[in-house]
Amino acid sequence: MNDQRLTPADLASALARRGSLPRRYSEDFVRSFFEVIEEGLVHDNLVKIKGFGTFKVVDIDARESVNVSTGERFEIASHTKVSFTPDATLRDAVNKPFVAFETVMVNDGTDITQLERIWDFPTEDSSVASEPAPAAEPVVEQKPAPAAEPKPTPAAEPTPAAEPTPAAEPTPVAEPTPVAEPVKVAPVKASVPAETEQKVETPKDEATKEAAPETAAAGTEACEKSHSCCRCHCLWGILLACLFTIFGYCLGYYWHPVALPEWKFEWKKAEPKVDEQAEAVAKEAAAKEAAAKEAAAKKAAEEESKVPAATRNYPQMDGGEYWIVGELGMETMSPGKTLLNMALKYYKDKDLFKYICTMNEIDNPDIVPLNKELKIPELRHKESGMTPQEVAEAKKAASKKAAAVNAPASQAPAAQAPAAQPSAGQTVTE
Amino acid sequence: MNNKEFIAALSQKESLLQRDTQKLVNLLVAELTSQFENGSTLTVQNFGQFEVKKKLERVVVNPSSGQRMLVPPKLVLNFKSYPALKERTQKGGES
Repeated sequence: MNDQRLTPADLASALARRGSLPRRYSEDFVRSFFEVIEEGLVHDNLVKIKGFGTFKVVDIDARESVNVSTGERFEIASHTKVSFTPDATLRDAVNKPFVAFETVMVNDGTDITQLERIWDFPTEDSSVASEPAPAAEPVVEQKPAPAAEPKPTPAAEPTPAAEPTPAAEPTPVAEPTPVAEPVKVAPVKASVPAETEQKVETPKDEATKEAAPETAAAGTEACEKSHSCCRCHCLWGILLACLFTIFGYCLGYYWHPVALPEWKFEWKKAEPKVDEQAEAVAKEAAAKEAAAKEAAAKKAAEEESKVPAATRNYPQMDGGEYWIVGELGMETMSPGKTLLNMALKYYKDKDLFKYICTMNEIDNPDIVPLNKELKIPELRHKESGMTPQEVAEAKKAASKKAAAVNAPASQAPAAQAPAAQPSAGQTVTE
Repeated sequence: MNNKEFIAALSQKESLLQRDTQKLVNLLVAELTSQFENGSTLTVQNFGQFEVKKKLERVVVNPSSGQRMLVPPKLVLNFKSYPALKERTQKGGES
């Protein structure tokens, strides 16, 4: 347990590391995180965050209390309090060291006074664990018994996983080398366990300590025989040492404690509201338009002669229902403004934001630079020559009428609806 | 305010995509969880303090059956709000 005191700055740097995003953004994000919780509490009295917990504003009734120094009675006024209930995942994670405990029934006639004595001095858990043991009753004994077990585990657990491998590893390294020439090989040998140790990154150096004397002993032994050894052995030894170094290196990577998957975050400033929904809407609209395109293609070909001359001055959208014939005005992109908002404002139809994109050559409607000057195109329907507002009204009137006349008529392609006159119903055009 | 609304509000504030906001929040929560697992204390200015506290074991009595039970000790995450936050929530609640 490292009882660290954390600040949002620590969180921000950790977040920046994990999400690989700029530090200033992560700081900003952490601050906003708590600010939004606060705003939510003020407005809704409740904030739920998945995986973290629930913040709630709880009312506390007025109650009477006694002034400790004067013995006077006084009333604590009713007030509110912010409560926090951790999510099950967080709660379990925090309680991991004690997870082995279970609530135990206490048999009748059990002497609890001994337990009560323990509660009086709130010392470390070790005393709590050891103290109840002498209690005469079997039930009470049963319970504290596991106390000794789980406590050492959190401290000890992470290391043994990595330990056995390096311990086993350096020994084979020591074996082949003594055969080789001692003078040359000894330094190599010495460096090998050290190197593998570093790579494996185990905190315990037991392996090195073990391996070092071994190699030293082997070295002196080999020194006596050394003169008979040939150069070939020396080469072999070096080769083997190299191999084991590489092997150790790989193993080290394998055992490297990578607990959490790193998630690469691509930082992009984008329109707040143009999100998945907008994409879905856009996709839907695109599909609709594709269908409309086929239907309108023939008509459009016939009416090619009707194309307003002004259209040649502006970029046109392929397969769209409208011609861009002029400019309605300019808008500057600022926080809170979206292409959808603009389309709604100028055309009463948010799907038409695509024309704004076409006009201003925006490839990705989700990413529009701040303070970009946007030209708002003036639109005319390709068939009827109406403005989008008129089309929308016509559509509304037509669908209303169609719904009134008969239900199936309303399923007629939406693309043809605008062509219909407000007075003439869907059925007439069909 | 549920998780979805929270994410929406946060993405609005940070002018981020909701998808990315959710990912960042998940990262932040994962970080917080691992920190609290280690018994760390988080203090946020003008907001409050998160602290892992140990609750000692205790004996509880079932009022209907009179059965006594020994509840094991446990570690819980505690939140203490700062006076500033209390005041603001109070005002918000009244208005």
